[in-house]
Amino acid sequence: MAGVLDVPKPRINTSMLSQHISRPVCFVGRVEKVQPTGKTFTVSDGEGKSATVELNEPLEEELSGIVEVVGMVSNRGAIMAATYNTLREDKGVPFDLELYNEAVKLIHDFPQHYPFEVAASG
Amino acid sequence: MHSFTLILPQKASLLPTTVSQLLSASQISNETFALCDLELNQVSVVGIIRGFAPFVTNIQYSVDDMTGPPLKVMQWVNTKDCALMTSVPTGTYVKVTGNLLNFNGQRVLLAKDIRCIKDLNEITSHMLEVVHAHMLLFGKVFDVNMNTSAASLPGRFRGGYPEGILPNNLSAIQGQVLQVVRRFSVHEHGISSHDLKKQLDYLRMKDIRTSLAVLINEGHVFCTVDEHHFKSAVG
Repeated sequence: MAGVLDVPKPRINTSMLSQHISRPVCFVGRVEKVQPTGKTFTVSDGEGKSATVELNEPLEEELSGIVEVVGMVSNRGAIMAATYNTLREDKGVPFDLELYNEAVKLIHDFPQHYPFEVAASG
Repeated sequence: MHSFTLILPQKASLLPTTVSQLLSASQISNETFALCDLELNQVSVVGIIRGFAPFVTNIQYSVDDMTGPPLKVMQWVNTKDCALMTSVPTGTYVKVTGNLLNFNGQRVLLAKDIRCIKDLNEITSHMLEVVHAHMLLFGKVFDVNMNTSAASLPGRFRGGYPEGILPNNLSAIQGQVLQVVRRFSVHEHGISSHDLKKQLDYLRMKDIRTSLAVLINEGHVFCTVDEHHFKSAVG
């Protein structure tokens, strides 16, 4: 799974999951619910829509707040996490997930100015 | 008034970029890269540290902004002053300001400054800044002419800002603070906030501090030995 990190991982929201089946993505959201097994949790994006994240190994720590997940999207639209990072919010400066969601939509509107691909360089 | 223009650097532009744009940039020489015929000077990248390796003379980081494979970022270690260099742990979001270059056949961002991001909204603002800057620089060229010939680029973008011209969007006070910081950047540790106040004695300390915060945030200025010494990112 280490290979996922070595390729582009488009930043997406929940609505874009279906367009990225079997492809690597990056999802930033707020942790909503962790399943008792510790191998599945749900995250919500800036539109309040939930996505499911599945892990290979159960969580070893309590998970909350803003998390950035990188992984492949399964056929069912779940994110099979290759890695995840808790992004610690600065005291007094909360992360504006709605604004992030707007930026995600914007960069998908202008792929020529924010490419998720590396061209062969000259 | 003193004249600062003689020691101001010729290339002063700072372009917010993605890792994918840096990896896609065409190489002109060992230390020169170009995006659509625009020569790159200082660039900034926001990403998460995936790994790091300390060497005798430098620290190398892998910085991932999700647009491609992680980018190799190198920062020289000042052996005289080891306290200056504390490596940034993996999983930390950083803003790197520096120059792209070819190092032993590898594309490397040589960092002038690596700053840990405390306000996560900087991840969002950098995304927006990248789109905005590239739209301004390259948008029209594509839309109108469908080509990227050098002649079609506005002259002021060729090789960055001319001598003495400050980056856009700075207030008068921010511009004055930046000019003084630049003038003192020839000193090893730059200028202290105390000396900055002495140079700009007609300004309130509060306004100098506010301006510094903006200049640091936008990557024009960075801290050196501590949070009270500053250097310009340019030059």
